[in-house]
Amino acid sequence: MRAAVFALLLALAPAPQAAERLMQPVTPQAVAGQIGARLEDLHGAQGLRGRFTQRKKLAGIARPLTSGGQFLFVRGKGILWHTTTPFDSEFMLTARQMMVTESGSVAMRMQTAEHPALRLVSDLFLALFALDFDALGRHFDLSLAAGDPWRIGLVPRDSALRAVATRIEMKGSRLVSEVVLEDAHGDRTEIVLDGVQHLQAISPAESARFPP
Amino acid sequence: MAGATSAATLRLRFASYLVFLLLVGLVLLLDVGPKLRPETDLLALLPATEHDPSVNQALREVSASLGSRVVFLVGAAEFGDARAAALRFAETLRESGAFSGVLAEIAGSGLMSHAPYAAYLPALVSDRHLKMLRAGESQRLRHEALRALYAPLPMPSAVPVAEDPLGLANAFLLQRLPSGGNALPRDGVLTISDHGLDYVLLTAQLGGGAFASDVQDRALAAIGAAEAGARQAVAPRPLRLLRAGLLFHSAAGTRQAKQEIALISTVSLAAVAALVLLTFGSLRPLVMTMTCLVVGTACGLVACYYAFGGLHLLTLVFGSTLIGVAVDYSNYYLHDAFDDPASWTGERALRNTTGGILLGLCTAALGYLALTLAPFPGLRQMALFSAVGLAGAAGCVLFLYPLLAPRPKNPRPPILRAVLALYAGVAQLRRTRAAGVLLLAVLAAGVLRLTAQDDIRLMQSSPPEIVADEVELRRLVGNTPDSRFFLVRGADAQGVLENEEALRPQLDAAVAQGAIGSYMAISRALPSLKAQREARELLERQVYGRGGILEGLMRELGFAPEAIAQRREAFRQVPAPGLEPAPWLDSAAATPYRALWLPQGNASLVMMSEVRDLAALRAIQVPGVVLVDKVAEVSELLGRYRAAATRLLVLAYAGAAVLLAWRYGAKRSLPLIAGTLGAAAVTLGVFGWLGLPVNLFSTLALLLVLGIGIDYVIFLQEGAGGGHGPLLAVMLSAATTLLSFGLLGFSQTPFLRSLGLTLLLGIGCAFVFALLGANLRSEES
Repeated sequence: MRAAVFALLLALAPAPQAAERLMQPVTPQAVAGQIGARLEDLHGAQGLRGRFTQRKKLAGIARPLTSGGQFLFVRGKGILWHTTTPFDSEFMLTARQMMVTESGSVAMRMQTAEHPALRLVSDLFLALFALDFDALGRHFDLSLAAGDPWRIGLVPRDSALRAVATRIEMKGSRLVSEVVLEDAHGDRTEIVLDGVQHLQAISPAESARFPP
Repeated sequence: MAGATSAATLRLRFASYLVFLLLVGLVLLLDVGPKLRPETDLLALLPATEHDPSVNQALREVSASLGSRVVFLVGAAEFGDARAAALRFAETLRESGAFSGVLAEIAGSGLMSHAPYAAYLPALVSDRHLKMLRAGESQRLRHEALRALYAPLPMPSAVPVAEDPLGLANAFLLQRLPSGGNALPRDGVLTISDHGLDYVLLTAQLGGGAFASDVQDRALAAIGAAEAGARQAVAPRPLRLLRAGLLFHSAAGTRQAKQEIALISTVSLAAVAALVLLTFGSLRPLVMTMTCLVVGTACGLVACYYAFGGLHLLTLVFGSTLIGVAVDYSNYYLHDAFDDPASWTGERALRNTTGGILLGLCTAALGYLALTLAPFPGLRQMALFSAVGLAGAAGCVLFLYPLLAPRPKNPRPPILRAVLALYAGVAQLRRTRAAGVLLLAVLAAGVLRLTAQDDIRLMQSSPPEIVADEVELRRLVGNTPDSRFFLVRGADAQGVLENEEALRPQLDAAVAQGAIGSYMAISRALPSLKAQREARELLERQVYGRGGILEGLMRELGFAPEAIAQRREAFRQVPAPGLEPAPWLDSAAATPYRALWLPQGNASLVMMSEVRDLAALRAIQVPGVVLVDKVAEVSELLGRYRAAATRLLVLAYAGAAVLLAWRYGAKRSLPLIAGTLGAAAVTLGVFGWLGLPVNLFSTLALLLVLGIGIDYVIFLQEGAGGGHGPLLAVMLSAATTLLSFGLLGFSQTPFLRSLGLTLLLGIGCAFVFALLGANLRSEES
């Protein structure tokens, strides 16, 4: 009896290995349909907060460049990365600008209106963090392995975006846990997110960190 | 006037004039007619703004190249539909041959296509990096490069880190991308999303000038076919098509002008014909009158064609009002018959009317010719057309009429009764002189409320749907170029680029201060050889050379020593003297910039979007650079000429007063002068009370009021004491003149409307005052 129940449970359990290998081309609607239910918390949240670790593997260098710190994503506002290693700097991205702050003073600021390339990148990252499949579907061919964790592959359709990444892969379950970007030169960037919390409300102080 | 002219002389004159007309007719048929393509460019009517000739030449090239651009947005609910429709649309335009270039796909102009730069990349730097190197801030540059490598956000890169560890080449390649406004690349086209619709952006270059009517016709036909094809491609789902370009304005202007010419000339001709028929009750005077008008128009056309090498469509619109004036002489002559029908001969009419006609022609011609003093090509054309046309018509009357002149069938036609009744009515006004004078004084007092408006934008108009399309398109696309731009000149291509580089730091400051949204300059994508040399020297010293930052950074990142040597070698291999304009211009990388490079190669444009602080731009002073603000320049010129024309007007009225005083004596001329001046004062007063601003065109119209109004005064005075002929002539003339200028008052072109309104009011008043000043028999004898 116990063995039978165990066998039954085993049969019902998903086979993650198999799912991971099978990535099927899909429409944005299909992605939302297949894994949307698991992302309800994310789509209902006002934002996300957590830690990130980034590893960049560059052609010509054996040792990857590793950095890490905390991030804050606020829906409709932008993303803030606070890098703590290897050095302290703050990186802010909104739909309108990108700003780098070091020890309290602005080290660099770019407006998306003046830099079309920056606008592409900012649209892309804001859509990635919000998991806005419609927005992503406009510029990428999507593919999906709908297991748990799910994986979504993104291949840009335009040369402008291919200058940023030739392929992006996201992995997650109720949250995005990993993003991998590969570029045309063979360089590869892996971003691992952990300790991620959904924010149901954004404090005025957090909101104020994003200029209008 | 002079004694009787012999029949032989009359015949000789008749024959000579006929030969002259034959010549005019031949020239018109064989030379002028086949080549005449009316000009439709409104700006061609305006004075060239006062720059030196090389600037003007450059500006002509600018307006030709910008003017022939047409932009479309093809929108649909589904992006796939919009894209398919747009590609179909572009294909139809290409096949039509009406366009020299149609751009839908954007392949080849992106970041990744950097073919012309490849060999030069190790020595090319962005503005930002050049500034740092100049300031000797190589350590800061190194720090930023390192930070960028660790940054959580990948920036687009055309060159791998291994080939560009400092990010210098990538920063340069990014800098050269023009800001695309709201448009983003998607599936090979530029697209904009708004309110649930996806739009695809298309641009096309006309195969000729936007003002040539044949180019307009072919382009509009091609666009019509393209639209039908595009709609069919997505039917039954709807498609939204927005368009913008000078083409649509000028084509609408052409259509409008043609309609107005047709309307004004048809109505005027019909009115003239009806009045002549009513008066004479026979066909011959009608044929004579029409001959007179045709001759006037033909002479005007030929004179304008040879004097200006062409004819503007609006000259024809204005010229069509000539019908109302040219008919005056004919009327004056023909109506002489009513003075004493029994003993009337053509020779007698000639004797009675020659003086009046010549005096009238002289004053009218003087009025028109005064218009030519202003250096407005358009006004000069209108004035020459009118003056020559009137002379031709007067020639008809003086040389042809005497041998043709018919005797009126009915010496007292019903219309005479109506005219006399009207005159009696006007004469009644004399009894209420006090009230009349008071009313006129009140009306004239409006002069004190007069305002002036010289803004050229308010003097031309386009159909609202074209303007609405364009406003919507500009909103959707975002940073569309402003009408104001910088013109940069230099001795040669390198001089132009160097001057641009001197200008750019100031524009960067203007962007930072928010004075402008963004700007587009060739030298951002193609640095001058001088700047390339400077960058190279700075890089040699601070980056690639011994002790430069390259080695340290690459080691820190973990690159092998051979990789560092490779970078240094690539830098040494950069060909001297650097990237030159010719190969760059031929490459796809130059596509977004090509329109900014003027064909002669010694001037370029720097276009801006969202100009918010014009004063800041005006304050920019760089050698070889001028800020061109055509709208403001033309408006300012209009204001200056308005002031000059006002002085001219005062002079002309003074001259007329002297003429009248000389001809009729001080005492008799006083009321005539008062009437002439009064007409102008009341017109201006009414404008003042109604809050209508005056402009150059209304001021010039007052000169015409003088020229035509004084005809009435002269005809009535010359005929004083005689029969009803002059009265009838003046009444009928005024009727046709007021009709044609009244129609001009409804023109869709605001400045013609302002001419028409002024003439309607002014000539109306002049007419009434001339009647009041005349001392005629007011009842039937």
